[in-house]
Amino acid sequence: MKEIYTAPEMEIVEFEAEDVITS
Amino acid sequence: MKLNPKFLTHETKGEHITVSTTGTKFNGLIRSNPTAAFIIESLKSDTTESEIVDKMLEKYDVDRNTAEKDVASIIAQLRRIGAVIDGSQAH
Repeated sequence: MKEIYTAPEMEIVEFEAEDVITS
Repeated sequence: MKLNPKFLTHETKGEHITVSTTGTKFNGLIRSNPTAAFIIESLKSDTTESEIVDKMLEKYDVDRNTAEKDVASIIAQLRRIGAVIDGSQAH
């Protein structure tokens, strides 16, 4: 039995430079 | 074409995440619903859009036109951020 279809969705999250964790 | 090996996938608590690693222009992550996750997982081996559509038709209750349109849209988004590589890049 086939699964009910849901349209594919993606959320693309681009990190900002200040999100980079620095000791 | 296939998923760029510099992008790693992870699934936890039903949420599918694809994350870029070093050496990619895109720096971030992708959250996917189960259908988009199915497409991304299909890209882990060298494949084509039509092969992915065929797999979708086997798994889901969907018509070919809808599946083709949706797969093309997802792949275009992935390609735009460098998550999908083609031909000679894939080998």
